[in-house]
Formats: sequence, structure tokens, C-alpha cells
Amino acid sequence: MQLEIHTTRVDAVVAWARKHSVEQYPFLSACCGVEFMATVGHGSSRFGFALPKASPRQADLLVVVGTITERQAPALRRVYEQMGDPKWVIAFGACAASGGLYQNYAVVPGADQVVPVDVYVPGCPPRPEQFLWALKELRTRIGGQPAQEMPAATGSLVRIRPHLPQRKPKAPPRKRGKGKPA
Amino acid sequence: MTVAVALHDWSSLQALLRDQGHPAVATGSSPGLVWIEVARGAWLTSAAWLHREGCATFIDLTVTDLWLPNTSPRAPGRFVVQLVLAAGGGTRVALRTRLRASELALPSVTSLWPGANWFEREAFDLYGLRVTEHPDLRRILLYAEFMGHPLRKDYEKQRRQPLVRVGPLSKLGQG
Repeated sequence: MQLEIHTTRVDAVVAWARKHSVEQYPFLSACCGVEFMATVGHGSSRFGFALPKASPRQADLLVVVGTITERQAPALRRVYEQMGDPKWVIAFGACAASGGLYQNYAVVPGADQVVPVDVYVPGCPPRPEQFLWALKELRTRIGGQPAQEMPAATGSLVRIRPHLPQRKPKAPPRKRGKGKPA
Repeated sequence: MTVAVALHDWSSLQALLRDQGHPAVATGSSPGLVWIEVARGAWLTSAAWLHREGCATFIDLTVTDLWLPNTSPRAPGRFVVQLVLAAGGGTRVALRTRLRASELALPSVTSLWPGANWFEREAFDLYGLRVTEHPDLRRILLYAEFMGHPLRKDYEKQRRQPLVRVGPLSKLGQG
């Protein structure tokens, strides 16, 4: 067997490794969740995307699947903050991408109001092929990171994505509702 | 006791309510539903009477805001609260009352039908119906920080009360 030698950069190797081993954590909140479960059977592991993890702490990819209500938004934000860097987000379905048909007092108009979204998957619900497209698109984005954003060769973890500003969200006034009894 | 008996004996409720100074406002029926509209003060008396007469099953508690589009948007609305009960034999009985926005309050019927608990909380949450003597009157669908009652017609359609808003955080076009 002939020995082959290839030369490359460390960051390219790291990106190559990363895009082939993305652990996903689905945040299933509505009917799209059922569609997402069906999608898992379409072989996302062929692209190196492992089956969904049980905890966001073990995951690199947050898949926001379904309608995000205002009441759920703090939970989604918390899940995102529990994930280690580097991390990516896919908004699965019309509701996660834009609020969908719910333009009202109860629904967040798109998961990107709460967490930074890399890839949007439209559809109500999206077809499994669309989700596979999103995974491939995300792989392209992970692999195409500019070198200066990649981890240093020494092994210290540099954030691959600019972090969100860690400012506190504006809390609404904590007064009691008008109609509340004393 | 079936609903047929209850209807047959409808006059006894009328007499009871008249004695208490709150005669029934109107009654009527449509296929599968018999309804009676009473004054606000007769709400609990009538509910207890229906419970006694065989309406053992609580079905629903609904509120309707009767705001009309031609009136001033800030005009105080009028509301219809309806308690839907099943009495066997496939017939439902609805107890209704009309309330002004300024006096949107009713006594709880949870002592008669414990299942009404969450429905009354929902009516409070979304319409601001103040249910007196309710065991646990808190918001049930919305969060405690929410101000106002969003299904009332005087709630501004565009008004949002987010708990978390740090976006839009699209990363399209990066990387």
C-alpha cells in the first residue's frame, strides 16, 4: 500500500471534523415536532448528524421546531445558553422561522428574536428533504468558517461564532395584571 | 333526573328567581340546546338549581365580548358569559348572563362542578372575568407578568408583551 501525505491547515481539519460530527438537540414545541421525528428516519446520520441528544449540554446544534410562544421563549433562551460553544441553530418550520400564521399576543415572531439562527427551513411543515437540505447548508457554513474565527492551534477554544451580547433582556414591568384580585 | 324533567319543571326556577328578585331575562332553545338568560345576581342560584335538577356534567364556560365595530374602540364592552352543561339524553343546557365591562364579575361555580376551576381561570386570564370565591384565581395560559386580557376587544391587536427579546438575530449572510 502506497503511503499518501496531504498537507493542510489545522483550522481546516478542525472545521472538517466539526461538520462531520454535529450533535443535535431538538426543541420540539408544536406539530412540527412530529414531522421532525419522521425526518430523523430519513437518514440525517448519513451526513454525520447524530441522533438527537438528551441534553443541550451535549449538543452543538439546536433545532427549534415549532411555534415559540412568549411564555416558552425564556426556556428556549436558557436551553441555548446551556449549550457549549461552538453552536449553531436551525429554525425548522414557518413558525420557528417567522411566527408563521400566528401574528398575535401569544407567539414570538420567529425564533431569531430569542436565539441567533443560522439556517431557516420554511414550510408548514417542511418536507424531510428540506431539513436534509438545511443540514447540508449548515455543513457548508461550518466548513467555510474564516480562519481567524477558528480555534487557535494551541487548543484554546476561540468562539467560532460571535457570541451574543450577554445583556439582560428588557423585562416587562412586574406589575400585577389589571384584573387581578387583591 | 333528566333534562326533560328539568324543562317540564322550568317554572319552578322562574318562581325561585322571582322570589329572589332576579327573574329570568329570557329563555329559548335550539336543537340540542336549551338556554336560559338570567340576571347577574341569579347566576349561582340558577346554577345550583340546574345542578340539583340533573345537569351533573360541566361542559364549558365561555365568554363573548359584544363590542360592535361601529362604536368607539374604547367604549366599554358588554359581555355574555355562558355556562354549558349536559343533562343526559343528548341535550345541553346553557346558562347565560350579560355583564358590563365595569362589572365583569361572577361567583364561582366550582363548588357545584369542580371541573369549572380551570375554565374560570381561563375566562379570567383572557377576558378579565373576576371570579369571586374561586379557590385559585391565577392566570392559566399567559404568564404572570402579562398586563390586560388579550381576547377583549379593547386589547390592542398589535400590543406585544415579550418576556425575552434580543433579536432579530439572523446570521444569514455571515460566514
